[in-house]
This record gives sequence, structure tokens and C-alpha cells, in this order.
Amino acid sequence: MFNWASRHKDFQKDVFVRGARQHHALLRSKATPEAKKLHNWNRQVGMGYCKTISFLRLKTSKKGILYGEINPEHRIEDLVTRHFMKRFPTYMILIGSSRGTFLAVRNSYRGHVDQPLKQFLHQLESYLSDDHILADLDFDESWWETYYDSQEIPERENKRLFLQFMPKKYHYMTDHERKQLSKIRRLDSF
Amino acid sequence: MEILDKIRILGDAGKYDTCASSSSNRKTTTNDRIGNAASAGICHSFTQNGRCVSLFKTLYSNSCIYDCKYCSNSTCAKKKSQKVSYTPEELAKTFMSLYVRNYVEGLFLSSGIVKDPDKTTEDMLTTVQLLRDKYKFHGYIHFKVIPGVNKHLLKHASEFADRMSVNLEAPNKSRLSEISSNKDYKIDIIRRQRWVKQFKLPAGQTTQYVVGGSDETDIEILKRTRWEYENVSLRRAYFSVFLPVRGTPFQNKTPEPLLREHRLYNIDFMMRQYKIKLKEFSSIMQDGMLPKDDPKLLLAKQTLTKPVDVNESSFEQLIRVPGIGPTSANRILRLQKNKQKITKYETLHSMGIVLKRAKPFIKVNGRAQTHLGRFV
Repeated sequence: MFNWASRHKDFQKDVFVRGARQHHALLRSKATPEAKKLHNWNRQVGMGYCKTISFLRLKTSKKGILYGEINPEHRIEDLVTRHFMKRFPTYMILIGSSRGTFLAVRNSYRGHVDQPLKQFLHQLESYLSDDHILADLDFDESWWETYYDSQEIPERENKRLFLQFMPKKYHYMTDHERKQLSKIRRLDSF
Repeated sequence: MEILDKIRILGDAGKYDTCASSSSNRKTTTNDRIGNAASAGICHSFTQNGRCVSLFKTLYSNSCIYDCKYCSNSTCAKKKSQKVSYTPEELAKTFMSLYVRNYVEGLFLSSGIVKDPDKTTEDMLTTVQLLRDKYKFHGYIHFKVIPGVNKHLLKHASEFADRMSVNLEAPNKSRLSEISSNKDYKIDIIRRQRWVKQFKLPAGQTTQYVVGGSDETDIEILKRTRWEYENVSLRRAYFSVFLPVRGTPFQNKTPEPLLREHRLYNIDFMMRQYKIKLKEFSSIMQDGMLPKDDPKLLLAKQTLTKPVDVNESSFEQLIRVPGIGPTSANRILRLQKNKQKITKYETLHSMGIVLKRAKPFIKVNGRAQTHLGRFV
């Protein structure tokens, strides 16, 4: 029930032990302080995971590798790697963080190594041959910027909602998205 | 023309179409593929108005033979926009480039009608076929149905798409005739919706209204929506308030307030999730229009004559209390089922109930909040 709570940066085992002694209905209905804490840890890890898989922009290597660097608050790197592994089973997935580089190869999670992403990527590339689809999919950041700007409807502008959703603390956004965010003035800037 | 210009022009032309979910129950068993469509609620960015940017939402072409008076692509638009079109290979490649880098979650493909509905659909089909066969793309595709397209092409498209949608634009035939003179409501739209229902798509079908485009009332829209849920297995309806576009015959028409759209979503949600009948809302409507205040609160004021006991009430009673949603109602029921009594307001607060709104309508441990009316 609280699978993700143990991944929280502030996880305390004694809260979990106290919660485990309580009636399951009280726990599931969030009706005690321990249940509330466990639910909140679960939710915060879930949100961190959701934002990471949403805002992480992957880079491609012509050798059939998709890779990206993250800096999550909670221990979710393996979950993120598994998400992209299921999504792109034909490719190798490398997710780098301060805890090392997490690796999945052809739909199978392989754990992590203590090397930084760039160093490990460089080593791997020397062993691999070109992937014809990835080599063909050239890309320029301006495609996304242009598309993103084209979706704006000025008459419906709602800066409060934008600020509520846009995760300032996750820095996986593109430079363009960050610039859009910085255009918005908060009340204390007046 | 540069690909960047096409992305800008055709993305801009398609921005008024609404779509939210990108999850599908289609199974992806093969490992020789790119992408999947199982995850829901992933938003890759947000626009300045707080709307989620999840799909690559674009038109295939912005040429159109229809004369919808609110649309900048129609034949009656005075200010002619530059007419552009993707080629199938161009669109497939652009989309895949964004998808593998995790910028988008799927494709939302719509189009203006270039020569006739069939020709346009054929081009759109070539694109999705390329994605599925050449690029082995197994992710989410929302395919917009062109009004008037033939059944054979529609059936073919349904084999590639997760979700399809036909835009109703207006709630009935006479209202649609005020917007467009060359679309037949029953034949071009409703008949296509019935066909789409037969195809049993993994993510079903949806539709969209231009709210306020033809001076229709809220009750007309809601009645049509209810009919759609019952008869064409609509998964959900989208409401988009009318906003005047420069160079169109409706450019001087007053824009509709965004609150109207919000209230329609409120009622639609209560009809779908709470199973409240549409006729119950007639008491809070005035001249067929929804009030500006929260409809759930107004309905509770009229129907909840005595406080609801949280330890004894059913889901149907709890869900009508403002501040209690489906999740918190289920939490309360779980406690009832396990004979765990709620004795304090704090417990309810901890369970996620908004006490500020719920307190006047609930009873906890035999106690209820009193109100001035009792002393008058």
C-alpha cells in the first residue's frame, strides 16, 4: 500500500512500524496521523516521479541510446529508468543522477553503476553500431519552442494556474520553458 | 517552406481543439516497437494559460472548403491565412523526433478539408500508417474525423487510432446552421459518430462544442451531451468557449466568459461521476443557463434539508455534500464497512474533506453545525 513512501527523502521507519500496527481501514482512509504521513510521503514521491517523467527531455545517441540527467529529491531513478525502458524497448536507456548512472538494455533493467553519465555513455558508444531510426531523426530545439509558442491562446491567459502547474523546482525544463516562467512577475516584484 | 513555419502555422491553427487524456487500453506486447500508450496524466509542459501540453496537436493542412463563421481557416474568412500542408513523411518524422526525446506523449491529428473529406482523410491515414509501420510507433494517436468522410476510410483509420472524435460544435441542427451552411448535422456528424461507436476504439470517442458560437443555452448543450453518452458511447465531451478571431464573420461577436465553460464541466462531471440526473439541475438554472455560483453548493442547499450523518450515509448521499468528492466519500465508506466510527472533525480533515464547505451539511457523532435560520 505504501510502496513509494520508503523512497521518500525523509522516510522514518518508526512511523511505518506504528502505522503497520493500526487497522487497515484507518490506514487506507487516512484517518490517523501516521496514515496521513505515510499517504503524504507516498503522494510526494509519486508526484516527484510523475514530474520527472513528464519534464525530463531525453537526448539521443545515433548508437541507439536514449539518455538524460535528473536530480530528484527522492530515490526514484530506477523507476524513471523502468518507465523509459517500457516505452522504448528497442533502445538502451541511461539515466544519470548524483547517485550514479542507471541502466536498462532492451526492455530489461540492469541496475546502476557509480560512474557519471557522460563517462559511462562514452564508454558504451565505442562498443555499439548505428541505429538507423535514431540516426534519421534529426532534431532542433527550435521545433519544440515554435510548437510550444503556437499553442498559446492569449485570451485565455491564466498565470496563476501556469505557476501552479509549472514545476520550478524541477530543472528538467528546456531553456525556452524556463524563460517563459521567468517572464511572469509575482506580487512581491511590484 | 521550412518545417519550422509549418509547425508554427499548423500548430497555431489547431490550438483551439481540446484534448486531455492520452491513456489507452491497447496492449503493446511486442518488444520491436517505439512507445506505448498506457500512461495517463503525463503533461510535458503547460502553456501560459495553464493548459497541459501533452500531445503534438496539429492540423495536417489549414485549407478548408467549409464556411464555419468562427474559424480563421474557413472559406468565409476575410483575412486569408497562408495555406500550408505537411507531407505524410514530414509530419511523421517531426512527430517522432519530438516523441523519442520525451517532448510529447502522442499525436493529435486534425485537418482542414483540402478538396474533399475523403482525400484529406487518405493523407492523414498515410501519415498514421507511416508511424505505425515504418517507425513502429505504438504510442497514442487521436485521429480527428472529418465530417462527411466515407465509412470505409473511417474503418481503416480506426485500426491505427486509439481515439477518434467528431466535433459537434453546436447542440442541434438549427444551431449548427447558424455557424455553418454546408455541414449537415445528422448526416455529416451524428452518422459518423454512430460509425465510430461500432469500431470499439481503445480510448473511445469524444466530441467538442464551441460554447456560445450560436447563442445556444446551457441546457441545450447538456441535453445533447447526455444523448451522446447514452447513444454513441461518448467517453467525454469538451467545451470550448467562443472567442472571436480577427478576419472572420464573427469577429465582432462578444466573447463568452470562461466561467461558462467551467460550469459546464462541473455539471458534466457530476452527471458522469456522481450519476446525478440532468433534470435535477433544472431547479438551479435560469432560462436554461447555469448560475455563476458553484452548482454543487446550490444543489446541496436545495436538496439536503437535514445534515448528512457521515457514519451512516451512503455514497449517493455523501457525494452530494460540497467538499466531499468521490475519493473522500470512498474513504468514509471504507471506515463504515469496517465499523470504525468517525467522532471528530479533525479525522475528516485528515481524510481530505474540505471542512469549510462540508461542515454546514454534515453530522459527526450526533453533532451538526448550527445556523442562524434555526433561531428565526
